[in-house]
Amino acid sequence: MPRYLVERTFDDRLEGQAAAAARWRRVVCSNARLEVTWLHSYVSADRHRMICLYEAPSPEAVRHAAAISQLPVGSITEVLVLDPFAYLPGDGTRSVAAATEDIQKETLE
Amino acid sequence: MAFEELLLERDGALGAIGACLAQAASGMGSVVLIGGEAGVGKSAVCRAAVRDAARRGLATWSGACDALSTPQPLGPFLEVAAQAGEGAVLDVLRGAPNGHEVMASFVKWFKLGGPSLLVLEDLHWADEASLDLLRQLGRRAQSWPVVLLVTYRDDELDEWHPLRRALGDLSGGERLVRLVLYPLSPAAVATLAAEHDVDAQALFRLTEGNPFFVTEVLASGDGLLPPAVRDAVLARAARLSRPAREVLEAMAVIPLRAEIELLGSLCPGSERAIEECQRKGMLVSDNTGLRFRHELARTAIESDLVASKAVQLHRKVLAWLRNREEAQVLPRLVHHAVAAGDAGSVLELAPRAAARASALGAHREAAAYYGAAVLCANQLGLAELANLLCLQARECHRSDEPAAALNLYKRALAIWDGLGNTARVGETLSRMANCLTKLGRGAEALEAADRALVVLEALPPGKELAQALLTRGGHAMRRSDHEDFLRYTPRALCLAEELGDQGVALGALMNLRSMAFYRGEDPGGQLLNEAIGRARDAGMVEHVAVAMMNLANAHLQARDHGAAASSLDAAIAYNDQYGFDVFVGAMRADRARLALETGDLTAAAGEATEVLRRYQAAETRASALAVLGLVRARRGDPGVWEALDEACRIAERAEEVQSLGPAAAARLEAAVLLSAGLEGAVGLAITALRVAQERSFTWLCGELHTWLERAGRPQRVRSELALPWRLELDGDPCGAAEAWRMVGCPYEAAMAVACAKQVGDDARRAAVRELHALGAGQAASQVSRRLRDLGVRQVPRGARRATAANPWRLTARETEVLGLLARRQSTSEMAAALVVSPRTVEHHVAAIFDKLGVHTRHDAVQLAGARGVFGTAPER
Repeated sequence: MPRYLVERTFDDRLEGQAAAAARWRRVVCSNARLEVTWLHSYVSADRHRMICLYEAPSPEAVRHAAAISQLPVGSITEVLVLDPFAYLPGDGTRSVAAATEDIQKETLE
Repeated sequence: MAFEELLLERDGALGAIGACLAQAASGMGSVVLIGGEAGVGKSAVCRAAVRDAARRGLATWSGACDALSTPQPLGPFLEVAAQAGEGAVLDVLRGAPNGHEVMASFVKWFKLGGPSLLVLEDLHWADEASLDLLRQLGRRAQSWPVVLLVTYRDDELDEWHPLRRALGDLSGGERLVRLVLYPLSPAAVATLAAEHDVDAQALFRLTEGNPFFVTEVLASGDGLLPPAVRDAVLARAARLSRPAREVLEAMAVIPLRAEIELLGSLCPGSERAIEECQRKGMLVSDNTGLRFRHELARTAIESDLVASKAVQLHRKVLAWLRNREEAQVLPRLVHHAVAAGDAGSVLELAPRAAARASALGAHREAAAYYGAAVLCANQLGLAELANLLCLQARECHRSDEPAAALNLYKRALAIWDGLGNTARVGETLSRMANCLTKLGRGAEALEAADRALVVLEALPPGKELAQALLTRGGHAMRRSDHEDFLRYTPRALCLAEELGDQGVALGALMNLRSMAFYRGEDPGGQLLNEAIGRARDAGMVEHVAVAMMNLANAHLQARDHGAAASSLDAAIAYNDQYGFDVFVGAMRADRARLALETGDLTAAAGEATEVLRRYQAAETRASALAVLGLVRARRGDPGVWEALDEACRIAERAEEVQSLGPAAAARLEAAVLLSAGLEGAVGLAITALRVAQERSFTWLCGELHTWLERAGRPQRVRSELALPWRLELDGDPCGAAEAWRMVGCPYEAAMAVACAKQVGDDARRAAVRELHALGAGQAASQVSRRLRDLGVRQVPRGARRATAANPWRLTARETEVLGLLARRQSTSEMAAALVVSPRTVEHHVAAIFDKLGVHTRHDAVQLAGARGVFGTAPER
């Protein structure tokens, strides 16, 4: 399924992690019904902006899920996700730092 | 094994085992009994237990009992001892020990060894010595740090089974844990089926949640019988007595269930054998008869039947069923006739079954029955064969399989041609034209329709000619080619009336009136509605459905949104009632367009997505794709070109301006909004414009002209345009906006002002804000960018506050109904107010409940009121 990045702006600052737990659990539940999976989010330091990554069948599904959870949608972009482990040696069980060291050693030789 | 198996719904069992393992680690042993049906996953649980034990640092050994006719004495224990390399025990076991000696050696082993897990599987096949040992070890389990994990098939233990006695002896023990594993729930089956392209519910029904069967079916990948299950089942059956096996074989040829009397006639005197089958868990009985516990088991046994035996059994069943009331058992009769290779019976029964099925609306089944008859072709005369092929093709067409229908018609055509039956040749060509249209192959459809006429006009006029004229006229109608249409349809009407062919006559009349309505020659649609009434009275359901669809479409084309909404509702309800799924697709696509035109982007996208998910017809998909692509373009969402390029591709192939126009217009608008692919879009739009001008599609012409203008490619030659477009192109943006608002198109109204060159800054800013409010963010920002380039200041950059005007994706209709609910109107009052049937109102209310997640009207009104759906909206 494609992945979508959603940028959103809040007029009120977002609540802190603990206070918001119940809210986000509800979000996860209602998303599941629509085959929308919330992967993770980034919140700006001033707590007014959030960028969220989803896996979903279509941008409409993302909007629908957001509407049910009463979250605003600023813009939606389809994205490919790059992960350092795709390019580093090893099986992903070592830390990125350790694998990076290996690459550096390699290039020195 | 290197991988971890996924065990669903076994947490309880594994938890209990884990607790026993923990206690063994501290010196207290136990016996864990795991019962369950064959294939329920006892071995899988054992493997998980072994892993758990290993993690906890316990030693693990596994042994199993084989399904031999004579089990090896102490077989499983020998296996375990060999694994452990316990020389002392092995020596004892290989000698000729008595029970005490064996017992003593194991006790010594257990006491001296560290904490361990001993797995013994399939003890229902265990020999007596093993069971004895088990009993004795189990009774004193607390004395040593060993967990004895024993599995067995609980559905195979009748009261005389030795294991049952052994277990009975153990039940008094303190350190005994009894676990039963149950088949998986539908949810778990769905989870297992998630990665596969399988219908989870059908899978659950087939396997009844038996994990072994489920995983075997999924592994086989094609939903048919995987070898592993078959082997398992056949092995089980082989262990039954001969009479019981006869019963199973007889049962195997009978799908679903067998009446006791039937079984009695197939296998006389087999009551005990039947009982045995039930005891061994292979057959179960319910009110109406006997059946296999698993369908897979039945097919396994059936597949193992010698062909001649199977045929013999089928013949017997067929004979027995013949004595029953035919209508009820017709499908079964056909099944057994086909399986018995009784061509005569098939030819006699299958067409009857097909006719019945068709009358009931089960067209797919009817096609299959005809197909069965066709397979007995060598007993048929050519004309009969061709006739059956045509009947089958017709049913395929009705069950929305135009490709299959086309192939069948081709075969029939070859035969009719060979027989020189010109009338049937013409008729078949005409029907093929309809199939080709459905498949979106416009040029070929036209060719076939023309050929049909050529062939038939050489004969004295008959009903085939009338039908072919109607078909050809219909093609012209779809292309909105009025002159062409008039060349054929009036003739079809006259001829049909002369011949007294009511169906074709009404069809022709319907088309004539629809065309007149499209062209505005029948304001209010009275003539058309009169024709619809006549068709209804004549019970010509299909004609009524088509006409209602045309009526709704005409309203939509004329941008008469209120009328379009009601007639779409009415048409969809009618089609739902009579099961014409084919038309419903086209109408829902129309509904999507209606939502788009009235500015409801969310509803438009939702409806379009549903259409694309369920309907295959080319025209329908092109229409829905154009809507979806345009919604995405206006919002600035991804996926615009996938949708619009596909829409254009389909539309071009179908050669119908009714598809091409909207697709080209959408592509052009998207190209302007996204500043991409402009050249190609302009080219296509100009082509579409020319055709639209020829056909006098004033709305489409206006749309194309305007967007070409906005793209910087104004077209000089102008035909008549619909009013709002004309006003804009003539340089009266405010007049245009007003005209759009009268028609109910807020997006076009806002765009008219926002894109205009000469208009006040305030008005422009308001228009941009309106675009944001409608959710058309991309349109708004594209326009804003241009305006900023032009030096207009203070253009709103985006929606400052996140508004969700319609959080539940209610359609315009549903919002209306919700409003009426708030006024406490009853269903009949609402039906009267909206001019629809009470059934339609109920349908909308149900959709509202579903979307809002409530169950009562009161709750719906409350919830909507809290969100400000009525009256004052939350402040911006």
